[in-house]
Amino acid sequence: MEEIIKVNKLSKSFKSYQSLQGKKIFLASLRRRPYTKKALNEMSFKVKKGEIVMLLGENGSGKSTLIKTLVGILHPDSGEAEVMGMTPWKNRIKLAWKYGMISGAHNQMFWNLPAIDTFEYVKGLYEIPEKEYQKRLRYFVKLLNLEEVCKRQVRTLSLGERMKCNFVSAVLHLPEIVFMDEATIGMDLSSVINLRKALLDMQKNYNTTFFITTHIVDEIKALAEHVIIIDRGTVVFDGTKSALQKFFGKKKQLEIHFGKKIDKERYKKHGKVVEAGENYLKLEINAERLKERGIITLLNSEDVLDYNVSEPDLVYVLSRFYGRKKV
Amino acid sequence: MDLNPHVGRYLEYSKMLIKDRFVYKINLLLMMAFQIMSPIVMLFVWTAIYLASGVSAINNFTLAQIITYFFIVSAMNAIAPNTAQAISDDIKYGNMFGILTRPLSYVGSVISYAAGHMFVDATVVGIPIIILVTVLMHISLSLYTWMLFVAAIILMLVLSIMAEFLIGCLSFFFIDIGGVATMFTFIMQFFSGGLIPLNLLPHGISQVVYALPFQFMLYTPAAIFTGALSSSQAIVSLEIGIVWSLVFLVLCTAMWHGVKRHIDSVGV
Amino acid sequence: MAYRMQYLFWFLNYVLQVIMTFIFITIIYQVSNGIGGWSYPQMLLLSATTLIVIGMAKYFIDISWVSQGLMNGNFDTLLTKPMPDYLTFFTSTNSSGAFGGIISGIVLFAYAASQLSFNILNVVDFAVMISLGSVVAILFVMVAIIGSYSFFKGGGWVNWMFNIISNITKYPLSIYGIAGSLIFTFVIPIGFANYYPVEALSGKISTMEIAVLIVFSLTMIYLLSRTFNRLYKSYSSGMG
Repeated sequence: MEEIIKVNKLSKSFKSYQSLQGKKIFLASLRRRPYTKKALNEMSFKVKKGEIVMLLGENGSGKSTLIKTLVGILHPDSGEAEVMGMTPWKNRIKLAWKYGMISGAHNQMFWNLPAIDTFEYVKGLYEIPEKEYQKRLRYFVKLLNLEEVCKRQVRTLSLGERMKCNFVSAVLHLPEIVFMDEATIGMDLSSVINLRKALLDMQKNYNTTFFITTHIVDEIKALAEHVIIIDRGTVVFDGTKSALQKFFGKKKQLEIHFGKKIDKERYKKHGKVVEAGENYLKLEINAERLKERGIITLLNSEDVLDYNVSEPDLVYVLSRFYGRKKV
Repeated sequence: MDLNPHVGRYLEYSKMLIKDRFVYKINLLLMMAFQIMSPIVMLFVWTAIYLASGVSAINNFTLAQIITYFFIVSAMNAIAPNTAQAISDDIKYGNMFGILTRPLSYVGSVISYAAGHMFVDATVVGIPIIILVTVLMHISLSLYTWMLFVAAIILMLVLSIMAEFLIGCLSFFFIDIGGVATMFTFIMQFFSGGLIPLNLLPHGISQVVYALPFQFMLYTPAAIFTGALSSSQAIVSLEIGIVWSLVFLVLCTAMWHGVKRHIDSVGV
Repeated sequence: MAYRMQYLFWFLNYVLQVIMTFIFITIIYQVSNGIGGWSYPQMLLLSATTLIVIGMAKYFIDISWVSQGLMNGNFDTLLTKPMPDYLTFFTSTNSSGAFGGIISGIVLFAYAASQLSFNILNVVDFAVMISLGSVVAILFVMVAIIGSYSFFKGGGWVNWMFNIISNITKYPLSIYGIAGSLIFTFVIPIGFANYYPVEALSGKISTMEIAVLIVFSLTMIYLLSRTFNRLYKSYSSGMG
């Protein structure tokens, strides 16, 4: 399958200033120390056409910087990138015809106008034929329950409603690739589910590639075929969902709340202690072990007030990748 | 008519900006009202000045001419777009994101913005003020003078957009240029005759002022309209203005190259 | 102070305003006999007082920021802080450069005053009237901002209105006729902050008139405060 994104040793730093704190606030604000933050650090990866790629990383790991570089807004310090055969920062406008971009941090709608006006604008901008435009609009508006929402001023919409409208305005021209940077913030669960359906429909019918940043593990499970995890501007995992699932798919987290004080040492035989409190315990445990007699007896004991079985959270997964956090 | 798709894109953007400005109609009407208040204040001030002086003309400017002058200045101020602040806001508040993630060039979007705002401000404020003063002051201009006046307005708009663009581009380097833009506006108002007609300035100051390009932004159209500039003087003035436009074009091109070099190294 | 150069430019802007006013009045008095029976130093005094009052109002209230904040919901960030309602309008961002207007206005005032002589009673009257008048002016601005939001859900024009009013009241109200004088005394009460105090300082009005104006100032303060409190309740966050 053809590669639609190729990134090779991409690096990007930002210079900023730290205010030095001091007793005299006024004077302290006049003293600044420059510092450089390396947002992208020799990042390399490839994405095939038609893939749904999830880009994971904590806040400040470089996700937004990477996306902005791939759409040509930012210029890297060094390295190469190709999106649909074009160098983004050299062919920004030409590239912009072919991608759609949604960012949770930036509103792309006209603030004082109803969302439908922005959709009309997109139609004119990308020269979408009227019949096609109506067909696509009907589809997305129905799917995301925007019939009444899109007639209201964008400034009066909730965050989730705005994000849904942003999504529609970014995909109406059926781009070859859609960049989504924290695009589901504020959305309710049913909208998120419907959005996933739209993504999968577009992938199936138009072979659209999706490049999505998130820190919601459920989204990875539902959508991702290709997962890239970055930390401090570097790729720490680049593989398929199944490879990722292989790592933590069999792992579960078991949280137990006790009615009395506990000694965590007693429970190490059941699994790895991730977190422990006075009367609380979180264990990492293989899924099969949940059926073992020892675990069943433990969970049925009188001392246990409540318990919960869940997927390992992202912080824990990431920490396992580069072992810098204490668990 | 099948427009070149490049132009069509920017017309779409302009259309949206025009629509956006008409959303809060009350705001627009109030801005129109306040724009008219400025020359009305000058009407009272200069009436008091002429009454106190007991003369019919000061430096060959009659009271009627000076009142007309300030109305035309107000119309020009209304029509000229505030592009510098818009560019600054784009960078400060991240509005550029919505332009850069679409197939639009930034310079094209700035021109579209200016065109959209000029259209609204001319329609709602500028042209009504010109009509109002023509009727109230019983102005009767020849067709030739009207053509010179329109040419002066076009020159004013071209120079204003370029001057504002130069100031606005500083935002790429310094982010917040609100203070610089406002300072430029104050200085421009003085040197373009917005505060006081240039022909009332003391000789030494007026010599300096007439050598600068700012006179074309307010004084020249107003002077043509009030007859302070004869037709032949207006032609010469416009010719000089066109030369200044070319100078500004070179400056804007150089500035944009500088901005692109800066963007090439750091991005937006 | 995060953007130091910007502060400097805003500071210089306000200084430039004062300089431009000085140049304008100087040129007017060179080419004519002046405005409305006011001498050159008196005219400078009036303009300087207006610029000081405007500087103070803008120093305490960033009109654009507050208007925008009401419209787009950023005002919420102030309402979650433990401070009285009226103080929320005083928390502003870019207005500190207005200090330049205050300083240079004072310099112009001192220059103008040095060419005139006053008696102590006039000076006391001036001090009392300008203090009360400044409170009236600031309250009026606050009511205009919140009123614009309440009735029109807009506010971009308030800054503009304030600038126009500042321009209007830089000149003697008498040039606007009786109607104009009444408007800028009782409808848009900026006259209390500059024109009448300077008239008192210049000995142009009687003690009785001064007393009446002081009573009116106090009444305006009361009415504007009540109006502000009532309109303030209409704020609804702009964000969904």
